[in-house]
Amino acid sequence: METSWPGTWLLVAFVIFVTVGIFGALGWWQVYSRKASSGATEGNTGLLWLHLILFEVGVLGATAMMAAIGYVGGNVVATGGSPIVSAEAVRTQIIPPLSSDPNSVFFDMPPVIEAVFIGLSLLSQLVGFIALLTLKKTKAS
Amino acid sequence: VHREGTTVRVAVSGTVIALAVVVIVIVVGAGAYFALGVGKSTGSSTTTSTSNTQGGPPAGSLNASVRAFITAFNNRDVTTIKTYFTGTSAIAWSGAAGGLQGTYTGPDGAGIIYGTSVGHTSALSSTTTNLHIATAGTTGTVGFRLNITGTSNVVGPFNSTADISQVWVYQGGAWTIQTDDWNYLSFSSNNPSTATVFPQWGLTINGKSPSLAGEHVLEWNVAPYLAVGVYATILALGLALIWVRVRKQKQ
Repeated sequence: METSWPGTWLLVAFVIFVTVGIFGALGWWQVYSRKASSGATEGNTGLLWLHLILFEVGVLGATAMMAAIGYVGGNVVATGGSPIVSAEAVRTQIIPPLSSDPNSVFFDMPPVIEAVFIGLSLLSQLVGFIALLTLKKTKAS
Repeated sequence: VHREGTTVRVAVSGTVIALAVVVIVIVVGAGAYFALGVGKSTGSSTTTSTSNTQGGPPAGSLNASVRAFITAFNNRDVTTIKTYFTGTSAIAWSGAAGGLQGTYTGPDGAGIIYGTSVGHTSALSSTTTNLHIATAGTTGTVGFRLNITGTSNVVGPFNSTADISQVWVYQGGAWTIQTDDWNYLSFSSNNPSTATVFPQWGLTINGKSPSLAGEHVLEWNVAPYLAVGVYATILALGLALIWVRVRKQKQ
């Protein structure tokens, strides 16, 4: 397989989706499953749902943004453009810049959005750990 | 005889009047017909004259368009530059273009190539020499040399020289660029160009300060500390969880 920047981000997105999105979800399923089999089936429902939602939104958003960067930028290179110029296509054609000041963080939105989604997926891990702490054994009726 | 002669004169006069009325009716009717624009066939001479007046480019208009294009380039106005290109416009930059060499199509292609070259500059000055413009009907060929100096937020201070040849087409009442070929004779800059979103990457590899490039420098400097903070927090929570579990097991 031959890849070049920024088309490589399509491959990176797929690998991260598989490793974090699929195997990560499997890992958390194992943790919750073991807890449940040990009798700890009561917990904070809100935190557990928040963990699941943040995890899905974060991983899907982050990998989708990586894939979009790879597709839009890679298309420039594939049609004869320069890899350096493809960065401008990534900057302007995926999410419009919120600032016209080149020194502003919002001059280039895809990295910002990517960081937000990565932050959400990391936050979901924190929420997951906290949710685990809230799990307790079901009281016998 | 006198009465008969009189009668004959009256009869002739009536015929003349009738003919005059018929002629007047035809002339007035035809005039109204054309004056109201009802007629479909205006004759070949009228059609040709109208076509030449409205369809051809006004004298000197290409010269004005080319100079307006160069002004937009000097003003780093990518939005205006894009308006000179249509969906079929072909752009080809070659030579020592500082990593920008490639082929691009249409206004979007113009937006990204000109956006990369002049859209990331904080200062730009260019001098046009050897400008020559030739027009043949609705097609114009343009050539000129640009000596460009400026300061980029990515590659720092730079200077370059390029020979530009363009084919302009007059369509829809305006001149647009059909082909835009830039042959860079030279390009030199303080910082290296790198094929990545973060120019600091190339600077670091080349042993230079990442702060030399203004774009993304905040993210470049803050991101490592932010990442360390987040991962440290997750690790601390994980260790706390294990500690709690071990403690419960001991109890």
